[in-house]
Amino acid sequence: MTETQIIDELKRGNENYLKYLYSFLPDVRRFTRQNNGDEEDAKDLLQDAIISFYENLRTGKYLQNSLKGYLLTICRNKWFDKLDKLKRQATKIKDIISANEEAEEDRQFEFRMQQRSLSDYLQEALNKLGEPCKTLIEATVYLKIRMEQIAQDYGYADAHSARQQKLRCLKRLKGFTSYEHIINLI
Amino acid sequence: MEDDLKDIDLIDRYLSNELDEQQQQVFKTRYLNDPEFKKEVEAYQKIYDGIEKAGRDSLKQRLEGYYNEYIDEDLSIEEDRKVISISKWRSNMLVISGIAASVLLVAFGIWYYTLKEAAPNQQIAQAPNNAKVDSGGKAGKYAGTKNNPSTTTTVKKNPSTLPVNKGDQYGLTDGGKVNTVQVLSVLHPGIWAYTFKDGVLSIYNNPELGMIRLHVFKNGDQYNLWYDGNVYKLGPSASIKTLIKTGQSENFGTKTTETIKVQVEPLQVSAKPSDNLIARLQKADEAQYFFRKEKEKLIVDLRGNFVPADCKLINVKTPDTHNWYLVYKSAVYALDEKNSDPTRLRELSGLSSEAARLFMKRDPVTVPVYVRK
Repeated sequence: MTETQIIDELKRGNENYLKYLYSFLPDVRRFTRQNNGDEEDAKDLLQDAIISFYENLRTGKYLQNSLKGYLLTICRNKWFDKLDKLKRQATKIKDIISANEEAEEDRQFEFRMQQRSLSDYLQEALNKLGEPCKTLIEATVYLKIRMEQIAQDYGYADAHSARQQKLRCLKRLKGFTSYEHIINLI
Repeated sequence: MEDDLKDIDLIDRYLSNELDEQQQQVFKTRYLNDPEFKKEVEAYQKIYDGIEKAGRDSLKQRLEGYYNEYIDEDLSIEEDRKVISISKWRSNMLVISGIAASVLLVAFGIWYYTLKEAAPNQQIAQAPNNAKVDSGGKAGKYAGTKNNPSTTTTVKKNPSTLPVNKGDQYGLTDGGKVNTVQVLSVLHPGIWAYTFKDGVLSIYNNPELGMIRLHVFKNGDQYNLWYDGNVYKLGPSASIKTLIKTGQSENFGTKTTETIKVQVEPLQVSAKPSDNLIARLQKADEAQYFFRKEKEKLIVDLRGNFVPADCKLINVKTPDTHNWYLVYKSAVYALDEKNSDPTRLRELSGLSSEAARLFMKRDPVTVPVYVRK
C-alpha cells in the first residue's frame, strides 16, 4: 500500500483506509518518548492528527505532499501546546490554590458534560434517522463535501437530487426535536 | 425546489456560507422580522453544530477500531518516491537474494527432516519441556553424532506447537495460581429501577436507554421521568426502587435552569451473585477458556493475563436462553458453553456488538429539568 493509494481511497470516502495511518505510530512514539510522553500520549496525538488530516482531506484543504511530515507536524504542535498548558497549570498551582480555581474547574467540567450532550443527542438522532440520511448528512454537514462529489460517490442522478435528499433528511432530523429542547443543549 | 423545502434550502445555504451579499441582506431582513423563521434558523444552527461535534466524536470512536485493526494486521505504508534505476536494481537484487535464501531454507528443511526421521524421536517427544536439562542430557546421549541438529530444534519447537500443555504446566508447577472468579447472574430485559439523590438519577436494568428520548420534568415538587411518551414517578431514594409508570403524555413541559445528572448503569451493576457455575482462572499469556462438568457442576477454566479481582463472569438470562460473558475492566468477552476444548477468548467490540454495549460504563449526562403545569 502506498501513500498515494491511501489518499485516493480516503478522498473517495473509503474511510477504512484510515487504519494504515497508524503505521506512523512508531514515529510518533519515538517523538513522545524523547519529549516526556508515553505510548498512550502517542496514540492520542496521532488520533487527533488523523482527524484533522481527514477533515482537511475531505474538504479539499490538504495540499501537502508528505503525509508523514504533515501528521508529525500536527502531532508536534499539539504536543508542545499541551506541555505549555501543563507548565502553566503547574506554576499556577504553586502560586495559588484557591477555592475560586476549584469552582472554575467544576464549571468547566459541567460545561464539558453539557457539551457532550449535544453531540450525544445528534449521534442518537442520526442513528435513528438511519441510512442513507446519516451518511449523507455527515458527509455534507460535517465533512462539507461538495454535492457533485456526493452525487458521484453515492449514486444520485445529479447534485440537485442529492441536495433534495439531504434537505429532506435534515427536515426529518429536525422533526425529532423541539426548538426548546435543541436550543438548550450545549 | 419542493415548496416545503424552500426554507431549509435557504437556511442550509446561509449556514454553509453560500449566500451572496444581496441574498444575505434579504436573509437578514427576514431573520429580524419573522420570529418563526428566526427560531427555525437557530434550531438548525444548533443541529449543524451538533452534527459536527457528533461527526468528530464518532470518527474518534471508529478510529479506535481502526487502531485495533492496525495492531492485528501490522499494516505498513511504502515510501512513495519515484523509482529510480538504482533502487529498482537494488530491489531486484533483494528479490533474487530472497529466492536464493528460500532455496537454501527448503534444502535445509529436507535435510533436517530426513535426519529427524532417522533419529530415535520417541525419546524426543517425551522429553520434558525444559531446554537446558534436555540439551544437556541429549548432548551426552548423542555424543559422536556430530551433525545431528534435532536436539535443540525439537525442544524449541515443542512449546509453540503445544500451547495448551505449556499453560497446564505453568498451573501445575505453581499450584497457588488458580483463582476463582466472581460469578453473577442477571435477567435481561429486567425491571427498570432507579436511585435518585443529591441531584443524581441512576437508572438500572436498562443499559441501552437512549438519552435522546429521556426528559425529567417537575409537577409541583414531584419529579417525573418522561421516556418515549411514558411518564414514571421519581421519589427521592438512596436505595434502588422500581420505576412505576403513572401515565402517558405527549409533552414534558418547558425548560427551567435547574439541571440533574442522569447515570445509566451498565447491566453488571444490578447482577446478583450466582452459584450455577464455578469459574477458575490461571495466569497465561494467551486468553483462552473451556467449559466442563464435574459431578453435575458446570465449571469454566479461564486462562489469560487478568487480575482475578477485576474479572466478573456474568450469566445474562433472557426469556428463551442464557449467555455467558466475561467482563474485565472495560473489555467484554463472550463465552460459549458448548466449547469443551480450549478456545480463544473473543473480545466483543462496543461498536458492533449489542451485547458489549450492555456492559459499557457510560458517562453521566447533565439534563435540564422541565416544568409542567
